[in-house]
Amino acid sequence: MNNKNLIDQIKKAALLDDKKRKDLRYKMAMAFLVKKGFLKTNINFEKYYQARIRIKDMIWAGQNVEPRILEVLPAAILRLPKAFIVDDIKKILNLDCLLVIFTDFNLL
Amino acid sequence: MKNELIKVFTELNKRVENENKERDLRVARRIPQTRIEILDQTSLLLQPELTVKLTLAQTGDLDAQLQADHFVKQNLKEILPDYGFIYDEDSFLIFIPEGSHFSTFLALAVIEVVVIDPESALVSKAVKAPEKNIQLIRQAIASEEYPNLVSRLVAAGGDLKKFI
Repeated sequence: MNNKNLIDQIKKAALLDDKKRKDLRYKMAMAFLVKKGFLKTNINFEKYYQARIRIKDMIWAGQNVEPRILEVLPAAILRLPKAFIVDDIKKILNLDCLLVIFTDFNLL
Repeated sequence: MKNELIKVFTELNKRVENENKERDLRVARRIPQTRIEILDQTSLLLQPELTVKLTLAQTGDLDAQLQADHFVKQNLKEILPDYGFIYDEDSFLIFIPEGSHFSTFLALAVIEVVVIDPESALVSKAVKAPEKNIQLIRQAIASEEYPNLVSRLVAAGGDLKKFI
């Protein structure tokens, strides 16, 4: 496959990325983490901020859009456990780092 | 973020100037001129006019290579947390691709802070951490704002297939 074909495919993938970035789960995750000082960004997500947020939405945003969300999520949960809504524990526990936090700190 | 980093480096410059005054009194060796090269994600966020089509997110890490006295590095690490940053000790590992150029971010009395051009920062990320930056690189290529990004990425050993 030549570079031009690859670039065309990359551009198509970038269009899909754009759609994912419009997802409310991503915007809310970013708004929360920026407001709480865990991330910095060049986009204003302020209007999507909510004081409490679903962990599964954070994980979706981290896995599908911005991996840095997953980097800071354990620290955010530790510092602000009451801000997180835990409603799909089985999915969350697939992530080893979160399992350690939840068990070690008796958050289950 | 720009304003926060200006405050960080201004305070650092002040501390170095004060230290040099004390050293002058003791007839001790002065801290030489310091150059701080800002790289990676921090550099992209510091140049909003050149990265307007990119969606950027950053943890509190400051990615910067220091050509500096131990005193400068130590004080920088002390100041950064007050502004929500931590110095990334792995910064020396950041790949600076051939053809990179730096522009002045701040020129203070004893500290010069320069920032790598966005295209080079993107090449570096594409080559060294493609998985973590897959969407960013796709967005940058699709934007067509960085005319030599693809050719430089390939020349530096990157693999375009990783961004499909």
